Amino acid sequence: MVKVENISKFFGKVHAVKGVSFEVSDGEIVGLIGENGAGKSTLLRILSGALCPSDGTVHVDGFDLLTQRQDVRKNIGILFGNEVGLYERLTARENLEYFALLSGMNKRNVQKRISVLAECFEFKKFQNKMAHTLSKGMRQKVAIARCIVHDPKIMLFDEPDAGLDFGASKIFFEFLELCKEQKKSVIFSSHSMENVKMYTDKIVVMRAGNVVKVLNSAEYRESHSNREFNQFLFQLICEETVSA
Amino acid sequence: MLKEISIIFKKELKTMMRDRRTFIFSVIMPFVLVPLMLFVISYSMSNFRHQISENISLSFKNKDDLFYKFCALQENIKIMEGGKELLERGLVSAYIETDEDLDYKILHGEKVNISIEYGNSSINSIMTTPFLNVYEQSFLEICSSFADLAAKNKITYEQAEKILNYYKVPATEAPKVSSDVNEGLIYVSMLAPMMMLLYSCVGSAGCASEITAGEKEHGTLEPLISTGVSRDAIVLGKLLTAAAIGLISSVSAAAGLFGYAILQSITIPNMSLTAFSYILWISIFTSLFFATVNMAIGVFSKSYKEAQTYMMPVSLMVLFPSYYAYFSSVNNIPIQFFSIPILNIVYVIKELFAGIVNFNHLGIVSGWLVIYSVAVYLIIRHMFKKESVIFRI
Repeated sequence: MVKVENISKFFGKVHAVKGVSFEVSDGEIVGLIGENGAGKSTLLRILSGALCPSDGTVHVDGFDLLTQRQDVRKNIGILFGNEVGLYERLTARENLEYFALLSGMNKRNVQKRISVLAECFEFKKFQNKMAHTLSKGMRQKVAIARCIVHDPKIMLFDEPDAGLDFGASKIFFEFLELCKEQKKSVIFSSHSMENVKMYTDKIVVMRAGNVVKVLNSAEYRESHSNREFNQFLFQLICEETVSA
Repeated sequence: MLKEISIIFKKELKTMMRDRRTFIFSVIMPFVLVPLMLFVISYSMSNFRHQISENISLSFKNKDDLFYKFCALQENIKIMEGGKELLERGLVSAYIETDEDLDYKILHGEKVNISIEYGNSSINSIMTTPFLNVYEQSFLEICSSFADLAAKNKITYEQAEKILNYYKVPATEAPKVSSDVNEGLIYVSMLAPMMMLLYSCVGSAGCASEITAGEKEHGTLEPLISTGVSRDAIVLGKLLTAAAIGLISSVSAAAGLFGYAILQSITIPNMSLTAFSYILWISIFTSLFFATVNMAIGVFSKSYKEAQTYMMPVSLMVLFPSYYAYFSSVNNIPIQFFSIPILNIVYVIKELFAGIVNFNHLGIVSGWLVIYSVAVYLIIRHMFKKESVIFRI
């Protein structure tokens, strides 16, 4: 469903992503791990169409990201990292409505969809509160709901578990399981090795703009102890740092 | 695309109106501040003039000549001892030097020199100028009335003194440039184009920086451009919001001005409903023009604060053409002036305030404003598609 081929991205002289290639099948959950500055967020931004790759191609659900950008965007939902990006002077519900309408949904379906998401992410109680009055965890829940409000086939999450408490985090990863059942593809980045190990089918390890390893999580979960798996991932992520 | 523009416009307008800061500064402030400013200016000027007409303090170089005595007799003149130093210390409004042989010259019908020096930095002193001119003129007129007699040595010092003593300039004859009502009209006519321009610029500035640079700062721009909506629709939706807020501000300032005129019973002689509707017409294009300029700055800036810093000089630049145009007559404006940005808006609003509805001028100004707006819009469009501008954070 998502085919990334030799993607590179330059910011001036900075080579942020260096010839990255991998594939994500329908219903597959992929975890991106790497240190800060490894290129995870830039890669997710390229996949969402917010940034143009300097080189390489991306095919999303058969559409070419470079030539059919609008079609690609309609099939993608993305949660950006750092800022949850909610409009402070809109309520949680109005934030979702706005993005749903911009995605071309009709008003009746929008209301139904928001109600479903409000149940799923447990924000029904505060859906009519202004975004600026919500706690960080609440905002994160609403932001996740906002990026999937148009029911996209592919979901990209940049550090979705940042700021979520244990309960909210559990809700999110249960939602990922549901997406898997619905044959939707998910790519998310995280600094939580436990979440990545536990909830993914595939792990893409990035370092300094390169993909250093793409591994099958299920196989490693079975063949390695939790400690061994952790050490292995840690070595992949920080190899240069460790050797230095 | 129209649907998307409409969704963005409605959302932006809703968030803007929910923002107390924007609402107060764009809607309430122009309506309240403009008439309040006029009240204060009008009241303080009137009060100041009244005070000056009642008490003018002077110092003289030559005491006891006929002009000194003439001034000393006037009810509202207070003479202080101390010479020029008092003027430098701001204790008197003017310092007067006369010919050493002033009395001799008067008694022999010769031309006399009276030099009045005002304090350059004192508004009190500057305001005294027309009053003292009246006294000086009166004195010289009286002297010239007996110049013939004096030339033949047929008038004595005592007689001249007696004549001058007889003549008092009533304080009520103090020069008044215009009546209070006309003065109000001058303020309204001068401030109307300036305020309408200023508020259509300042009104859209806050909004434009919030919905462009502000969005970058709050992290809402990336999710927005990652939707399937075209960037043209995003830019146009936001642009219309900034223009609408600018128009609301401008109309609010105009409403404040007219409110002041009604409260003060000031009649704007040639203002008709037609002229007023054309002022609104021009305000629409003006707001659109300033919205595009402010949007361009907002899109380029990486934060709300940076955008505001760039927008401040633009707002100040609006004032210069307004001052320039204020001193020109509306009857002989060269046609090419209607193509100069901002100046053309001031001139056409001045014309409409004078009751002149010139469709050529209205058409030229509207046309140019559309051309300028489209040109700036194309720059915004170009910038909005560049990653280096959108992701400057």
